[in-house]
Amino acid sequence: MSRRRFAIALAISVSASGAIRAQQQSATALVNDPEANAQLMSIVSSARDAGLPIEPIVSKVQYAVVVAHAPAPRIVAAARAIAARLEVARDALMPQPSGLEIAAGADALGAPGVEPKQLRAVRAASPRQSVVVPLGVLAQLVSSGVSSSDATQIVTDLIKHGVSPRQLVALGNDVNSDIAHGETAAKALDIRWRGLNAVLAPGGGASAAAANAPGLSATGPKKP
Amino acid sequence: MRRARLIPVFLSFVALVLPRLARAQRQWTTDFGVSRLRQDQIDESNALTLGTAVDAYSDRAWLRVSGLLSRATMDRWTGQGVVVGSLLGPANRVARWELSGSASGFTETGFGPTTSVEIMAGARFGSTLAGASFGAGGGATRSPVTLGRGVLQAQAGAWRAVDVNAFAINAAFTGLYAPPSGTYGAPLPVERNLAYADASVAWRRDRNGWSASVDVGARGGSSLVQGGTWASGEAAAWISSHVAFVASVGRALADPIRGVPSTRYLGASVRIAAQPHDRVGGASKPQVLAGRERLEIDLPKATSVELMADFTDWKPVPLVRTGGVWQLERSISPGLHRVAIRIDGGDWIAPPGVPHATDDLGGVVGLITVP
Repeated sequence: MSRRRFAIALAISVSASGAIRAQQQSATALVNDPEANAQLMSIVSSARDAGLPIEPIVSKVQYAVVVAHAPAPRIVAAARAIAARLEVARDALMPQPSGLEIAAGADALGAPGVEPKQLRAVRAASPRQSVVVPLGVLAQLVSSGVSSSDATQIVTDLIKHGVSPRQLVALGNDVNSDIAHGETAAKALDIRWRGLNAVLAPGGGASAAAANAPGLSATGPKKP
Repeated sequence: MRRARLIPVFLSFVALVLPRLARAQRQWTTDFGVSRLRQDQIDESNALTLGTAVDAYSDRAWLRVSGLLSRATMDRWTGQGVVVGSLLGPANRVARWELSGSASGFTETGFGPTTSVEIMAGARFGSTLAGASFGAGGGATRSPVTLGRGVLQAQAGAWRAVDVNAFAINAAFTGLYAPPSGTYGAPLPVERNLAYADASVAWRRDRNGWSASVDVGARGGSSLVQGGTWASGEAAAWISSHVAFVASVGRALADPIRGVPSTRYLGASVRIAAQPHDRVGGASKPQVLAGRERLEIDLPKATSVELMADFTDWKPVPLVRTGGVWQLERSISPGLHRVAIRIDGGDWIAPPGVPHATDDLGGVVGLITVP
């Protein structure tokens, strides 16, 4: 199968250290569809030259060949689309996004309604820490039916509260699970967000000490 | 500073807090209940209680407004109201400044009201997950017995959140002093200046429709201030998204600032929440759990499960059954991943219970995020 062969060859080319060797391997492996192969190699080379991670492109081609059994023109179009998203993600996640962050940003941009401004908001909330997991949760929430603005708001709020990647992922999983069991996306998100904040907020400090002063809450309402 | 002068200061503080709560998360709860009360110099009694609390918090501010009205036997009424809030410096910094304020009022049948206003400035370190804070400030309180007093306070604390559990420790020093004669009137000479220190630990948890909290503390100080230990506990079971049964028990020491007497109590109430809460039995376990070393899929009825994903280079790999859970031991990088599974040799599908994504090629895969 020619498409499977060029996907394999492309994967080999990614792991090879030298561009010349990769080109030679791809040239010998992609003989059955020279035009598509050339276009794919051009897309990969351009991405690499631009400092973009090429693994997402390769993975997309692998998926297209092995799983989707897509025709060559669609594979090329898909590879071109993800290369474009990688570039947009890199620009939105400036100043120095890692390859994993760029890939995560491109994934998020593939979710309905997610735009570069949402990526910039996540980066602004976490300028020094990796945004790989937050962007993954953002994409997951949006794909669950949560609006991109709500998902961005909550993800950035939780980042500012200093939640761990594990807690962020747990929130996304809980929301997905609730939706799968019939809850609406908005309500599932609201409930899970409150549940997380019930543990996190207000998190101590002077006012919390005042609020918990002995005698203040005897028989009275407690925090929800 | 005179209490009357502190009131506009406190109102200005609230005016600073409110704009930062425009996009805050809010919760409003109201409790109707009954309590068994034992208070100093008052016969043990039953009471009907009505309490309400509004919380609003964002990453830059927090505000809590609460009120409690109770009617005990012999037609004895008590009422209290408290406004507490914090204004915080920008996030994403190791240290953040914090400006806190509180105002309270307490009254009961046969006694005039006790009112207080306090402002505190401090700093906090770390995050909401784990951190420490300290602060100092002052204020004023006025009661029918002690008349007016100035208040000096210093506080230090630390907190840590572990999954759905939150722990906190806190230490506070409070001094109440009688200002120069004529400022407030003349307090009783024997109670001119008081000082005491509190130390406390707290735990709270909220998960699967069950909320619980325990606070334990100790106080020592001037002989005229009630010392000893205090404790309170509360458990709430959310029978629906908006209704919970609440049980509470505790012993509270007298609060010299707010005028609340020492109380032992055992209470039960029904809590109504304006915003939805996770209910008992409402939590559902995710069918797919992905970690950096292992992926699990809950499919108890399947006889074989295969998976392919971006982290398998889209090559099918069989999962191993452990009980009703199918597992794949494999190193998986953090972030979003696309997966498809095949159950009992059927078609490749997105795993149930995870969001699906339609890609550029028209295929549908499941999305999982590894922390």
